[in-house]
Amino acid sequence: MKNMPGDSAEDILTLRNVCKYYKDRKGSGHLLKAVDGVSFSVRRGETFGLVGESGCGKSTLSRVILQLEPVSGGSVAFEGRDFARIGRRELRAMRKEMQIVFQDPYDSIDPRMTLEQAVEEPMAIHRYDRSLRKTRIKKLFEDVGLPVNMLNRYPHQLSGGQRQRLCIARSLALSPKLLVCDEAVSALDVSIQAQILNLMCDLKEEHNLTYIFISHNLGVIKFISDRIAVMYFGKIVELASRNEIFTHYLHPYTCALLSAAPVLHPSMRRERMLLTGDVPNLYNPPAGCVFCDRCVYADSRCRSEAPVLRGYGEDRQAACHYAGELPLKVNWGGAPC
Amino acid sequence: MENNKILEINNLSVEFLSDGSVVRAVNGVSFSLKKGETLGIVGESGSGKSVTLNTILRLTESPSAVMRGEILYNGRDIFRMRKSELFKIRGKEITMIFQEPMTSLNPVLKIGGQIAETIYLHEHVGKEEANNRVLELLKQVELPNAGKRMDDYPHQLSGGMRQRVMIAMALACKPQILLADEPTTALDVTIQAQILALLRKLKREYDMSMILVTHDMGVIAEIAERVIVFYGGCVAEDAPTLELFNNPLHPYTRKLFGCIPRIDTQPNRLSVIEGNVPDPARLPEGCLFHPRCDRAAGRCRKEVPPLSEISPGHFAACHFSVH
Repeated sequence: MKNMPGDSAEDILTLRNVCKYYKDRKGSGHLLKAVDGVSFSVRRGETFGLVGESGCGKSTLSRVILQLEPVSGGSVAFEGRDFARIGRRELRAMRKEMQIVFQDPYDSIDPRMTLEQAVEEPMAIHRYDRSLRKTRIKKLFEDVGLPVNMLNRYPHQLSGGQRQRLCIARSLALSPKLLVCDEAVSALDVSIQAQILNLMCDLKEEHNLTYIFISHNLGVIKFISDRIAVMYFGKIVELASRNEIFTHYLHPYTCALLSAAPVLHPSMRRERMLLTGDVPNLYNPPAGCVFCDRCVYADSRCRSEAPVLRGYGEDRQAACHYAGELPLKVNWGGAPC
Repeated sequence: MENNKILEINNLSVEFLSDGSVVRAVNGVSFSLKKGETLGIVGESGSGKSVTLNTILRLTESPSAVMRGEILYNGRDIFRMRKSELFKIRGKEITMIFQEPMTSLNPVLKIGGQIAETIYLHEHVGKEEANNRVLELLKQVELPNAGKRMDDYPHQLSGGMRQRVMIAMALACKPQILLADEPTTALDVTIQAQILALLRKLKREYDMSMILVTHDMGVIAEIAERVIVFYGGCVAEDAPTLELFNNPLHPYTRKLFGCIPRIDTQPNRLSVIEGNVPDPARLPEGCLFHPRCDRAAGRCRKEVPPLSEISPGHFAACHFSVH
C-alpha cells in the first residue's frame, strides 16, 4: 500500500479514514456524513490545498483537524501523536502548534478588544512570558505589515485587508507549526487578496510554516499550493501535485470543476461540458460513487460500488473506477495550461 | 445612431449623508447602454458599481441620499418621473436580480406565487393564465421538475435553483433591460457556469439589454460585450471587452489584471496594488487612483482626469493614457 499515508518523519499531519457524522436534528436517525473516510498526509513545509464546492465538507474537515470537533471515526495524528490517545493537558499544549485563519475577518475578532489585546489573548491563555509579549506583538505587527502605531486601535477602524492581517498576526502569536487557512482570502477584493497571498508566502518562509489552504477559487489554490486535494460530498476524489491536477486530472469531477472555471480572456469563450444538477442531498446520498448522479460516464458499477482512493504513480490518487481510462478533456478555449 | 441607446446615464452623482459626513458613493458617472448589448461593470467593493445600478431604478432613494445627473430610459429621465410612471417601468420594463437570492425571496410564500405576483402587478390576467406563464418561465430558466417546484418554498431550493427563480421573476413581464448585481457571486463555480450560460441564452431569446455588475474579471470575460471599470465611484475605463483585455489603458485596470491568480500561469508572487480602495467619505484630491499609482505626477494630485476617447470606442480617465 505504497500510497497510503504513512508516519514518515516528513509528515506533520496524518489523517486516517477520518469521518465526521452529524445526527439529523429532527431525530429521524439519519446520519449526515459531512466528512466520510478521508485519508491523507500533509508534509512538513508544504502548502496543502483543499478545493471543493460549498457543502463538500472542507470546513468540517478543517475543524476536525484542529480538534475543534471530535472525529466520529478514524484518526488524526499531529507529528505522530494521535489526538484520541492523548490527555487534555497534552492536547492543550498541542493546540499551540496548530492555528486557523477564517474567511471573514469581521466575524473572527472581538470588536471590543484593541488590536494589541487581540494578539495578546492567545499568549495570555498559554501563559507566554509577560515581559516578552510586547516585543513579540510588535514583531508580529511588522511581519504582517500592520503599522505598530495602530496597537491601541479597535478592529472597526481597520479595512478588510488590515483586519485579515490582524487575524494572521493573532494566529502566529504562539509560533504554530501548522496553519489552516479556511477561505482566508475569499472575502477580500482582488487587489487586497493579492497582497495577503504574497504575505502568506513570505510568512511561510520566515516562520517555517505548513499550510492547509482551503478555497473554492481555483486560481488562488493553484497559486499557493504544492499539492491539491479535490473534495466532493465529504470525500477526497482526487489528490495530486498542483501541476498534475491541472493537466492530468483523473477524476471526472475534477475535469468538470476545471471546465466550469471562468475563462481568463474573452477570446477563450468556449463550449464546455456543464455539470447538470446540484450536489446531492446530504441526507440521501447516492449509493455507490458519490458523483454518479452527475457523471456522464457512470455505469451500473458506479451506482452500486463506491470507488476507493487509489494511487496512480507518484503522488497521484483518484477515487474513480475508471480513472485513467476516461477520455477526460477540459476545453480551455485554446490557452495552454 | 443616438436612438439605439436604450439607457443613457449622464453625470450621475450619488451622495449619502452619514454621521455628519458626506459619503460620495458615485461621482459624476456617464455611460450608455445600447439596445441588445451586454454591458459589464467591474470594480472592487466600495467602487460605486452597485449604487449606480440600484440608482437606475431609484432604489437608493432615501432622505439621506442626494442624487444628481440624469438617467435617460428611451429618452425620458427616470429621476423626473412620477412614482406612478416609475412603478410601470420598475419590475416590468427594467428588472433586477441580486446577489443573494435567499434574501430577495419571501421565505413564507411559495415560489410560484411570488413570480405570479409580478405578473398580476403589471398585467390584467386571470389566475390560470398567470399560473401557466409561471410554469413556462420556470421551464425557460431550466428549473428541474418545474411543475412540482412551483409549490416549493425558497428554503427547499438550492442556491442555484433560487437564482433561477429570481431570474424567472425578473423575466416575468418580458423586460427591455435586465440589471444583474453580482448574480453569481454567492454560487459555486459549476453553478456559476450554468447561470451564466442561462443568462446568455435568455438574453438572446428575450432580445434584452443587460447590465451585469461583478467584481470578477472572469465573469466579465465570459459574458460582457463591453466593460466599464469603476474606481472610487468614477469610471476609470470603458471599452469593448476584447479590447480591454488586450489593451488595458488605465493604470488601475492594468494592475488589476496582475493581481488575479490565474490557472494558466505559475508566478512566485502576484503583482499587487499597494494601499487600499479609497474611502468614499474621504476621497483624495485629483485623480482618485494617484495614491496607489506608480506613474502619478504632480498633475495627477491636483487635476481630475476626464474620461476621454483614446482610440475609437475605448475611453480612459488618465492624464497619461496613450494608445
